[in-house]
Amino acid sequence: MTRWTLTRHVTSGGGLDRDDGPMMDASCIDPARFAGQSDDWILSQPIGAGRSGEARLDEVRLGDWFELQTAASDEPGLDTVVIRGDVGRFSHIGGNLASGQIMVDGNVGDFLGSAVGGNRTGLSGGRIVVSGNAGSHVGHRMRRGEIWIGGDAGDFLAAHMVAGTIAVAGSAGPDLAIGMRRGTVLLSEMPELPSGRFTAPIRSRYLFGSLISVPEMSFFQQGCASIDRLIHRLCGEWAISRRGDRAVGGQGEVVSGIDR
Amino acid sequence: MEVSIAPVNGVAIESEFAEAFDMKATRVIITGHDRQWALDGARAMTGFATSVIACGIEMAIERELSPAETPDGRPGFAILAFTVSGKELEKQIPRRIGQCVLTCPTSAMYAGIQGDKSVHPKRIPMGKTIRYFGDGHQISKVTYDDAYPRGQRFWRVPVMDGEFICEHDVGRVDGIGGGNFLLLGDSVDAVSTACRAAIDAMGKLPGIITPFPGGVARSGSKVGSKYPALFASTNHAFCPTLKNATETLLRDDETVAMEIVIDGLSFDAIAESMKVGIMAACEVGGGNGLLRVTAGNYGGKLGKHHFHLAEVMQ
Repeated sequence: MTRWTLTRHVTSGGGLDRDDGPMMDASCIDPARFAGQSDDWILSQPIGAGRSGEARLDEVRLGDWFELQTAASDEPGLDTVVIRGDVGRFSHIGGNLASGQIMVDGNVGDFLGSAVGGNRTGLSGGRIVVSGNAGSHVGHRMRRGEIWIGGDAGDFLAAHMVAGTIAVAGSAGPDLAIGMRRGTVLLSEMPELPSGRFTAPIRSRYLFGSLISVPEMSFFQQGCASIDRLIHRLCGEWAISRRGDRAVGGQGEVVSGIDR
Repeated sequence: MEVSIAPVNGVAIESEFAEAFDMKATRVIITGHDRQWALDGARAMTGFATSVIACGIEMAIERELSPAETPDGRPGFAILAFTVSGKELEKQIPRRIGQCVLTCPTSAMYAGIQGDKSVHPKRIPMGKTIRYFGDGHQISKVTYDDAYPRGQRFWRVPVMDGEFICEHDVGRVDGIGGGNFLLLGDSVDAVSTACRAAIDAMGKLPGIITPFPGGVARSGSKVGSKYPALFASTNHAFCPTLKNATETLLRDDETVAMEIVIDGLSFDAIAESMKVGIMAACEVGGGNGLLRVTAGNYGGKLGKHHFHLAEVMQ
């Protein structure tokens, strides 16, 4: 197992990290891509080179924004990229992830785990965990794998999702699960969903909740108690589920717990 | 070479060996909303699974699992299964899940052999085939952790009490079948009591099962028959009613013989269980009608695993 820890510089050049700065494509952050590469090679990877990135920052490298620490061990486990510091202006993190995990200790930008550029699918395996909030279009066209968000998620969460699991401990924005084919969205509270697209709520025991392997929270400096609470709710006696998006013939499920 | 073995609690231990052979094995876990449903499913799945001769598979409950030991935190049972070939295991397990576990209210089915393809490349299908019962409404879910970095797949099949959760497949491992020992005594009561004491003690051990009724077989067999179509027939040398009619291995005061047959995941597990079982039987049966302990073999020609009582009892 190898762990790469990317820590945001306190200041970065060009003022591109200001709150109203352009969203930068960070889809190059991928444990499978990093495996076997030197630290210099990893830090030389371009940011914003993705075709869907709002900024065209081909000359900006990962090393311009992050410091890297690499730790390898013979212990079995998932290859992991840990991102420390706020990356709220970085998009498409985990869009190419197929195995391993990405742990973001902070907020993250749009298109988390979503299809990059012209790709048909986004996240196709492995796990992404965010301790803070995530932007819009999380899990767009994701096909497999898990996304865990300790805070809130923006609009179009799980839009056109093909399969996999997204868990949001906080709230989700509008247009949740639009065009969802299959897969699971786990939420603390059941949001309003259009009745034409999703079945009426069903109350049942959600046994699969007890099989979900909760992410290792020790990667986060403050932990992430909200995700623990979410799973605790889902493993209760009853849960609420709705199926959809029926407008596209989807059989995805949106599930929330009920207070015990 | 004849080796003398010290009697245990006055019961003679014969210098014989049990002859066992290679088998293919796996372990599955069944859980239920409560202990009764889990037990009902486990009993159904392990029914008609005493001998590969006609059942195709040998299965039994290995042990009861507490909720803390099961994947979904419910009461459950671990079941061991043994066949003579991997192909037979691939046939029998899905068939029994489909008819005996899927049908059992509140049940769920999980792999009891930990590790993915990288650990156990040979796999026995479970949810992989049962999922089609869902008629397209089944849901596949994959979870990730350090033990399953490539993911562990489960199937959720809609059924009338909710969902039947079934793990995709389970690893196949090597096993050994045919470990045994025979208890001989002067009455049915004496040998039955000794057998039950042995089975109770052996039931606490991991990695073995005794698949016959109550863990005991009374129809020990020999290889071959006067009827050409049969390849096994009654072991007449231990039949008390034939004592004066055929060559016998029973002594004058021995009127009953019962055999405990053991399948296990390793040689050591079977050997340990034989020792524990014999000790328990002798503890209860010594002075109460249990007269002798021996073991069954076919002259060493049937299987490569030989459990010599002299070594087992050390």
